[in-house]
Amino acid sequence: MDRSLIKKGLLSPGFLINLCLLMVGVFLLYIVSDYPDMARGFPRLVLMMILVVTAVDSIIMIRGAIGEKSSQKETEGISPGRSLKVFYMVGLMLVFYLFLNLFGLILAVLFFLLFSGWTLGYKKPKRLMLSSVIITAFVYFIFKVIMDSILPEVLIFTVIGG
Amino acid sequence: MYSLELWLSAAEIVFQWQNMAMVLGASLIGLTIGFLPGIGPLTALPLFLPITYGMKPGPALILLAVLYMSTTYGGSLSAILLNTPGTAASAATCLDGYPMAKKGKGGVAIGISMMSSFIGGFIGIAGLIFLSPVIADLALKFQPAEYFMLAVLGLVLIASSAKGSILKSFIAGGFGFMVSSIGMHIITGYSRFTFGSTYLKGGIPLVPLIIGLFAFAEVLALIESGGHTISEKGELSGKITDGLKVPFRYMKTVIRSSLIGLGIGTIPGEGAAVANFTAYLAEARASRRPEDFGTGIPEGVIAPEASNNACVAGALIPTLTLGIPGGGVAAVFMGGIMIHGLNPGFELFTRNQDILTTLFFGLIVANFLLLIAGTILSKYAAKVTVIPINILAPTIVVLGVISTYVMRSQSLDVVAAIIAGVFGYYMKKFGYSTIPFLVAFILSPIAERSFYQSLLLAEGSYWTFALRPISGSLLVVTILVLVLPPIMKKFRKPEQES
Repeated sequence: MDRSLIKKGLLSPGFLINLCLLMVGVFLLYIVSDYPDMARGFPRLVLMMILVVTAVDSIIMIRGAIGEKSSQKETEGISPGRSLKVFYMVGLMLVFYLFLNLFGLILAVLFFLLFSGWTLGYKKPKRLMLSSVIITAFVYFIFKVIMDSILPEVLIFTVIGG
Repeated sequence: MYSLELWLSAAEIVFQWQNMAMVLGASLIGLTIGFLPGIGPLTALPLFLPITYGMKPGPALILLAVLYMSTTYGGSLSAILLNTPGTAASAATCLDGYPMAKKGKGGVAIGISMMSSFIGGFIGIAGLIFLSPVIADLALKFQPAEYFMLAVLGLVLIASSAKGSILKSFIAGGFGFMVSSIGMHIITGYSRFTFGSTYLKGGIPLVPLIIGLFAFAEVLALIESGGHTISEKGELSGKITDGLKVPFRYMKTVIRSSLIGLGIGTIPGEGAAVANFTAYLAEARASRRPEDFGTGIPEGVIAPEASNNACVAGALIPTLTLGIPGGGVAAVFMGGIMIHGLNPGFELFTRNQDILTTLFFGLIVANFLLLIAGTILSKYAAKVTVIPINILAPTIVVLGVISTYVMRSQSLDVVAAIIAGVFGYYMKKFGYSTIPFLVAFILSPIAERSFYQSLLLAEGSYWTFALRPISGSLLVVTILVLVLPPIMKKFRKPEQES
């Protein structure tokens, strides 16, 4: 039995995720044990199922590594540059939501589309401007004119006005 | 049955220009609203409910039903073009619709979807008219044990046919059940997994979860891919009109899926979200090339589309005949019936047959109008796939964030959607399908409630699930679904080798 292959199996992202899932499962099982009978029966059943299936999956993963069957995809790492882009987008989503509260729908949508489009690599200013204005108008028409939705209150004027 | 006189009088009402304009207008609005990620009939119908106050009951019900149908259909457009189902009812359409759009066959996929929806809708309406008393009677025989087994069967079907590892699909489904159990317990009111948070006491809402898992996760994947446009060729090939012909070559699939949708629609609580996956998986199982499902094949679009539209009409069967809404939207629809002083059930079918025939006729006409409106409008919607990703991704974020917020005006819903997006993105990345997770999340309340109710009725005996005829049959089917594929695979291998 090749030790390096077992090590490879144990250090694969798939196996490490399963390990985390097992730990989460046990932790939740511990929390559930304090619940009254009726409230814990179903989640406990589901958690048991998760633990058993995850354990089986982990064993298969290790056996696959021993048999050199572990897929390239599973052992593939995550590119730091790509991950950074993903985190940047998540940050932009949160910033957009804050802007929506601060500046209201029209300004927030317009600013967000212009800023994110530009920073994500769309370097045609005229087209970017035009598309941002059209999308902002469309969003306003749907949510405010047609649906008359309640949107976040504009806080900037309240903040400035004290 | 309804007399010819009643149908003629219904046609007279429906073909009045005001009502025709209303049907056309509602179709267009429904298609547009349905296209927005996460905004479906459950958002649109309550908004239009107050408008129906001043209308006569027949046209009012037609308006609501047309909105229901058109928003469901609009959701399919975004599922095909953006891999973002407008509603859970179109989630399965993503599986083959989006790969088709990526291959540059977005137009064909839309055409297939429209014609399948049309035929599915038509079969659903026919079922509503002719079979309603029979099917509603069957649904009435369902006890908690049957509902529980149906939920288990639904999850097993979905997990066993999802792409990738079956074990990972079961793990994803298990966590879907767990996430759904966050909040107040449905029977005892005890707070579970809330960690002192007031927001979590209400549970994780479905819409932010769907928007996160599908729309935001897709945005993150698009950004990571670094591609220029969604369509690999940068342009759409394949005409919508070509797609319109395709379902006629797969009539077995269309009819089978429509009947599945119709049947599931009649079971209260089992809505189009379950129907579209069940039809998709049933088709994959029946197919001679199940491995092609998920790669962008017509059957993968036809099955969910025919079933979810048939399900819309199916959900109206228990609503109209028994006064039991088939789901959330049907409950709003029932509100629409009641604000006009009508009582669903026996009275509606005996005293108000004129209103019912007007509704049925209106639905038939609306189905035709939707096909025409869809053919014209979808051409423009298809252009979405050639929009640069750095414009499209922020646009989806804008629509997703605002759609999430307007549902309940809760700031934390947006945060929940973003977390679900990150979660969905990493799930996909590590080979955990988001679909069993979502289906388990949807089925969990029904499954848990039915589980306790059946045990209470059976005085704690688990045998109730096996000994009741319908529940026992469902249990056998569940076991067969789990056991048969590996056995058949083993038998097929030697055959292939020889």
